[in-house]
Amino acid sequence: MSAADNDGGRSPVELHRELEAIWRNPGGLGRLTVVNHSVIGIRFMIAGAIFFVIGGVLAMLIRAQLATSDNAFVGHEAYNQIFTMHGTVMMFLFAIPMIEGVALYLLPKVLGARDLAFPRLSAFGFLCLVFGGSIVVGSMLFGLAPDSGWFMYTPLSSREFTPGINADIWLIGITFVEVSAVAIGIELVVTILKIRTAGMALHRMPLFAWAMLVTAFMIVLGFPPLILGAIMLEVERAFDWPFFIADRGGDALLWQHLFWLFGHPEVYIIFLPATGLVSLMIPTFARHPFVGYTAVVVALIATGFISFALWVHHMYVVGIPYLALVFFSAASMLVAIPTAVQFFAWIATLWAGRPYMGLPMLYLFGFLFTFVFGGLTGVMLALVPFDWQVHDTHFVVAHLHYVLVGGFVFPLLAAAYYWLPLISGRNPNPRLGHLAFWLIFIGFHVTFFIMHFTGLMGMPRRVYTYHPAFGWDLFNLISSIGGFVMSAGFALFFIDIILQTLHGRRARRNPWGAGTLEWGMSLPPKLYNFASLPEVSGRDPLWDRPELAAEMAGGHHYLGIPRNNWQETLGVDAVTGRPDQIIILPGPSWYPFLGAAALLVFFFSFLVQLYPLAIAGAAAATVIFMLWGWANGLKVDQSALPAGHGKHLLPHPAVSDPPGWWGTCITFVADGTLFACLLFGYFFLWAVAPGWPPPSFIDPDPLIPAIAVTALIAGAFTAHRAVHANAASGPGAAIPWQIAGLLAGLVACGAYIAIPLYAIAPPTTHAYHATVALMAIYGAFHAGVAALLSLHSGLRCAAGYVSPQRSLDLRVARLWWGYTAAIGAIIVLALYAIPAVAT
Amino acid sequence: MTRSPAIASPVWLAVASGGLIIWASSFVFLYAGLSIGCALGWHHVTLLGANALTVLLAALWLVHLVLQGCFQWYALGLWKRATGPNEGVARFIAGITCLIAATGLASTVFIGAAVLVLPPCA
Repeated sequence: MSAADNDGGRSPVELHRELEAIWRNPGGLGRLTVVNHSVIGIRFMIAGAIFFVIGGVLAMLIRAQLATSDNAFVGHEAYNQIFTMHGTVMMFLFAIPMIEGVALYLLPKVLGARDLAFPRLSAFGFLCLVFGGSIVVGSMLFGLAPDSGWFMYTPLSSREFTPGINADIWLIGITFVEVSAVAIGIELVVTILKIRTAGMALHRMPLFAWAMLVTAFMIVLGFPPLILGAIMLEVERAFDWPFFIADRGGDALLWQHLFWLFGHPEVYIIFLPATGLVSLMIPTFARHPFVGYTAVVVALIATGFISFALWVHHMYVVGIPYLALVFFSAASMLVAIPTAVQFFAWIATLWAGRPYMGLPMLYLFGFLFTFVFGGLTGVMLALVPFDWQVHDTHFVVAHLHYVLVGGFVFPLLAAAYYWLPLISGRNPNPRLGHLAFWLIFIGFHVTFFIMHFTGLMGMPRRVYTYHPAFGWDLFNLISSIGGFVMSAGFALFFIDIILQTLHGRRARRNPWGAGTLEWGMSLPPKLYNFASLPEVSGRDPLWDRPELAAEMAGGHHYLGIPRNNWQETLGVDAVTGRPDQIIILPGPSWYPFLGAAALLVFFFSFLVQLYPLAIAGAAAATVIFMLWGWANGLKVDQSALPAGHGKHLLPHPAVSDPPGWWGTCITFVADGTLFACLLFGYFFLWAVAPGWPPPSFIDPDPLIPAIAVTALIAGAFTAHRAVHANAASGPGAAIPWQIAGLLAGLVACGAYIAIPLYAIAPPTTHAYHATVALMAIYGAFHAGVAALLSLHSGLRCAAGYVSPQRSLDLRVARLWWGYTAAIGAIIVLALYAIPAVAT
Repeated sequence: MTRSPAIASPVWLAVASGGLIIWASSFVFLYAGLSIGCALGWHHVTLLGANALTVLLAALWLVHLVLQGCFQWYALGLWKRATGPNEGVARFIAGITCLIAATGLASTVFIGAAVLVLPPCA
C-alpha cells in the first residue's frame, strides 16, 4: 500500500506537522489542563519517586532508631508516626502511583494507540493523588501524622485510643488517593480492552498489557473494601456511629476483614505489573520470543483470582476455626504455583535465546534472586503453626520487604534503565548504574536477610526501642548499616537517571533491538505516539517487520489522516483486535483540575470538621462533573469515515459500545464490590459481633420501603422507555420520560433518607442502627445520582447531543437506573425482611 | 446507532475465567457456610451420621466439584469448536479456558478437601 492511500497526498513532514498542531499541549498555567497520557504518566512517576524518597528518609530514621538498644534518637510518639508514614507512603503513595504512572505512560505505546480511553480521567486521578498525598504527607510538618500503623487496626485507631486528628488524616487522605486509584483502574481496563492497534487480538497482546488488565481488575475489585472501611471508621470517629466498638455491637475484626480484603490483593497489585514489565524486557535481552506465553496469561489470571482468597492469612492469630485457617493456608500455598510458572517461563526464554547482559538485565537478575527468597518465606508464613510463631515479628518485616523490593523495586529499576531512552531520548551509561545496583543489592540483603533472624529471636515489629539483654543489638546494627548502604545506592540511581536524562548520548530508534511497538516511535516520542497505527500480525511486530517503524512514521497505516482538529485513535473489538470505531479523544481541559479541587475542599473541610463547607465542596464537585459530562460528544450524526487500509469506521459517539459505555460497566463492578462489602459487614456484625441483638430493630411499617422500591422501579422503567422513545421518535420523545425519571429519583432518594430519620433509633445507639443507616444512605446516594442522570441526559436531549444514533447518555442512565433499582431492592430486603425472619 | 459485533466479545474473558469463578464461588460458600454454621451451632446437630455442618460443607464442595467437571467438559468442547476466520484467537481463548478450568478444579479439590477430615468449628 502506498502513502497516498492514506494521506491524500500529504508528505510525512506535513502529516507530522499537522498532528503536532492537533496534539499540542498548552504552556504556562495551561499545563494544569494537560491530559495527554505521556505527560500524565510522567507526572505520576515523578510524584511516586518523590514519595519514595520521603518514604526512604523515614526508613532511615527507623533504622537509625533501631541501630542500638535503648536508643533515644526519636521518642515513641515520633517513632509511631514514622513507621506508620513509612508504610503508608510506600504502599499508597509510591507503589500504586508508580505502577499507574508506568502503565499510563507505556500502555498506549505498547498497544499501538495514541492515548488512553479517558485522558481527562487520568489527569483527574493524578490530581487526586497529589491532593490526597499532600494531606497525608503534609501532616508530618505539624506533628499530626497518622500513628496507628499503616493498616490502622481498630480499636487502636478509634476515637477512644487515638483522639487527635492523626487517624482522620490517614482515613481521609488515603480515601482521596483511592479515588485516584479506582479511576485509573477503570481507565486501564477500558484502554486495554478497546484501545489497541489493528490486529492486536488477545493472543497477540503484550504480556505487560495482560498483567495490567488483571491488575486493573484487581484494583477495581480490591480497593472498594478499604474505601468502605475507611468511610465507616471515619464516620465512627466523626459522628460516633459504632461500627467497630464492641460494647455497642461493633467488631474490631470487621475492620481487619475489610482492610485485608484490600491489603492482600494489594501485594499482587504491586507485583503483577512488575512481572509484566519483566516479560517485556526478558525477550529483548534473550533475543528470543517469549516462551510460554499462554501459560503466563493463565498464571496471571490465576494469581489475580487466588490473591483474593488470602486475606485471612494476615489474621491467623485472631481466633477463627482451624478449618477456616486451612482454607486460607491452602490458598496461600496455592498462589505460589502461578508465580513459579512465570519464573520458569522467564528462565525458559533466556535458555532458548542468546542472552546478553545489558544494565537492565543486571537488575532483573537482582529481582529473580531476591524475589525467590520472599516467595519461599511467603510459603513458610502460609503455614499456620509457623505464622503463629513469628506473627508481628521482624521476620514478617523481612518477608514483606523481600517480596515488595524484590518483586517490585528491582524490576522497576530495570524498567527505568530499559525505557530511559524512550522517555528522555538519551541512552543510559552503565557505569553509575552498575555501582548503584551493587550498593542496592548488597545493602538490601544485608538489611533484610539478617532481619529474619532478628524476628526468629522474637523481636516484635513497631517497638521504638529494646533492652540490650535481648541480644538483638548486633543484628539490628548490621541491618541499619545495610539500610544506609542501600540508601546510598538509591541516591546514586537517582543521580544517574537525572544525569543521563540531561546529558546522556542521544539514543537512536530501538536501541535495545526490541520487538514491541513502543520502540517503533521516534525518541523521545511525539505526543501522538504514532503518525499512523499499524496492522500487527504477531506478538513482536518490529521483529516480524523491521520496516514497520518507518511505515508508521510515513503515515502508511491507520489514521494517517488528520481531520477536523480531532485527536483520533483506533477502537477495536476486544477479542479479535478488528478495528470497529474511531475514537475521538478529548483535549486539554480545566474540568479535571476543578473537579479534584472541589473534592479537596470536600475532604479537607470534612477533616477539619467544617461540615457546611464540605457540603459546598461536594455540591461544587457534582456541578463540575455534570459540566464535564456535558462537554462530551457530538451534536451531529456521523457517517463512516475513512480510517486507512480502505476501511471506513464510525466515530465512537455513533457506535453502540464506545469507551464510555465500558467505563460505566467497569464502574459498576467497583460500586457493586463496595455494596457487597457493605452487605458483608451487615451480616458479619449480625452473625459474629458481641453485643447483639440490638436494643431495637427497624420499624416494620412497610410505607417507606414501599415508596422507595416503587419509585426505583418506576425510575428504571422511565429510563428504559426513554431509550426506546429516542430510538423510535428522536430525542424529543425521550425528554418527558427523563423528567419522570428525575421525579422518581428524588422520591426514592427521599424515601431512603427517611429510613435513618424515622424508622430506626439514632445510629449512635448500636452498630445495627449505624449499619442500617449507612445502607440507607448508600441507596439514597444512588437514587440521587439516578435523578441527576435523568436530568442531565434529558437536558442533553434538548441540546442536541442525543439522537437515535448518539444514544449513549440515555443508555448510561438506563444502566444506572437498573443497578440502582436492583441494589435498592436488596437493601430493602436486607433491612426489612431479615429482621422479620430473625426475630 | 450501529450495532457492533464487538458488544458481547469481552464476555469471553469471563467465560475463559469460568474455572476460577467456580472456585471463587466454592471458596465463598465454604467460608461463609462455615462461619454462619458455627455461629448458629449447626455442628451440634447430627445429620446422616455426621454433624450437620460438615454434611452441608461437604455437599457444597461436591456441588462445586460437579460444576467444575461440567465446565471442564464445556471447555474441551470449546477447544474442539475453535475454528473459523478467527481461529488463532479462538484457539487461544479455548486454550486458556481449558487451563483455567483445570486450575480451578485442582484448587477446589485442594482447598475444600479439608472439610472431610477436620471438625468444622474447633
